[in-house]
Amino acid sequence: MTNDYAVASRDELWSGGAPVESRLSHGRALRRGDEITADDARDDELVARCEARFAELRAVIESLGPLRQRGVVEVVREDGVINETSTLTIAYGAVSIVTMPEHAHEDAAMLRALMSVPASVSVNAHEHPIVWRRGSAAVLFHEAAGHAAEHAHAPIEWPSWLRVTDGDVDLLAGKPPSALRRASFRDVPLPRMQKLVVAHVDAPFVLPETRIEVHLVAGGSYEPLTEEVTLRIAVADLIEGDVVRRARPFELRASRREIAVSVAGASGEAERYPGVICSREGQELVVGSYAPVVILLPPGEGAAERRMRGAADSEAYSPSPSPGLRPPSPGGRGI
Amino acid sequence: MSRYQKRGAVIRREGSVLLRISEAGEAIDDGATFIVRPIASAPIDMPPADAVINVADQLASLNPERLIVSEGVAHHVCEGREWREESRRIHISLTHQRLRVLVDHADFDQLEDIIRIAHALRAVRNERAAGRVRLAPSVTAALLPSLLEKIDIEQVNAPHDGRGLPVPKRDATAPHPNVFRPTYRQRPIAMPFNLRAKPFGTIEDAPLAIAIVNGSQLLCVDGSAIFLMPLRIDDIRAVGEPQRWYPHAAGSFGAELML
Repeated sequence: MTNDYAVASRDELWSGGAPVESRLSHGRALRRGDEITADDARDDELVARCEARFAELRAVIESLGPLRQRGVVEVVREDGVINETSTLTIAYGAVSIVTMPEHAHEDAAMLRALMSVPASVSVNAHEHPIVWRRGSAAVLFHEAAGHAAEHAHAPIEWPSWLRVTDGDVDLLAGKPPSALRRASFRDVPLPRMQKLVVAHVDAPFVLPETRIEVHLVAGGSYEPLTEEVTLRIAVADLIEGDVVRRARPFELRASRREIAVSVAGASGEAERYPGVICSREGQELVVGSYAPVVILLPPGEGAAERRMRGAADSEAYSPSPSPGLRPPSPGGRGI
Repeated sequence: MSRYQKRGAVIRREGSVLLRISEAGEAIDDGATFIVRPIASAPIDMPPADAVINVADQLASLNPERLIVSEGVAHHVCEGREWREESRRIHISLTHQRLRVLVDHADFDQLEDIIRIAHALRAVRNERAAGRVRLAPSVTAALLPSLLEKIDIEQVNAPHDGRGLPVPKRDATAPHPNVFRPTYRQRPIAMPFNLRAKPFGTIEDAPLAIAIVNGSQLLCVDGSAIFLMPLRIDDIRAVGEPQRWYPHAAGSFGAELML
């Protein structure tokens, strides 16, 4: 296996309308079999493209005002093919989202609106059906299907109407993502999700009278030893008939098998979910995430029992509260 | 305004992949913005790969969930001060069924400690209620950063912190005068270095806890018996002399600790 990878990236953290941290990075990694030689060589074309894209992103950041934001532009040339990405993490209070420049204003407005309603009720995720709105079901399947597939865990039975894919790869069939991705030129590329899309074909959909409606997820993890999924919900409503109350942050913990048998319906087209930063092996990567509205019935009693046990974590995604805004982690991977 | 420059070379084995990485960069803090960028610099000699490969091959036989072995050299410059550091690191994740142990070493010695943990993890059969137990130095070292308010812990002196200033011997209480800077890409963080629990009491014969399992249990050995015990740090009866340095936070010394 040979691979020639070069990258230029800039990330800036803004607070109060001004940059408080600004990082430029560039480097190259040449792979020959199981050996990678990497250095911080500068590719002028990639750096120029990166700075041009960041100027555009900086204009978006400035237009959003004093919100705490972290913008990242990365331009990669891999085996001769150039790819550019531009992402923006926006924090509001204890919650943040990850978006793209073209959606930044729309997503920031959504975040402001969601955060303007104070939480007034505690909920138990294992007592009520959960309706995953705004594409948030993508996070559920990212953990329960995507990471399980990355670990080559055996396929389990999911509803026949459900589809969860990453590019051309069927994650429900247990096939690992085809893309090899890395967080920097210092890292080993791994099969990682790139764009997870949840879809359905004629799924049932009966909206329960009493339900929890999830809008934003604070973080999640998949424990490969136990095949257990943990999701920390940041913004949700408890709906009882016509009464809508904002729920306090809560946690859902269940095995992927319990989740699979609890998925009860879906409706509509896949919506873009603003923000999945996936962390695995210390490498944080943005994963595009899309899902329709999905209904999950309360997972079984086994989940409640495990909830009492404490958690280990492994692959995790964490768009908020602050991890999305933190600088790159060192992890002993470079200097 | 402060300026910090670092150049270095690291050889790292991660799973089956061997990486050779060299880079140089600087961090400038002008009071308003923390600016980081690569810099052109004379290359620094890459450490030889032999030791890393040898250690990684030995530990790979344990079939770890994750294995990272590295050796690096770095040259630092900060406000006129220059210093050089060499480092070795082992990070290994060992699993058996639903159990996971993480081990971090700052040298390539005593691999037998890791092998012992791996074998014990596979042999564990039962659990016991919390009771008297001795923590092995590696376990104590991992716990010390979380025990700062519970027992007397001091910072042991060292030649350089993240700004190249001496690390004095002092109680590890806030405010911390020294800063930790594991990479030039992050702001330096004020924290205590080289934690060492002040020895007291008498270490008595008791089962030995050789690792922390799933963050909440101790993997214990008592003669031929191998068992799990809840990790509860509510009654520390004695601390022994420091034996070895471990790379937890900005460093901590392992010593036997009696619960």
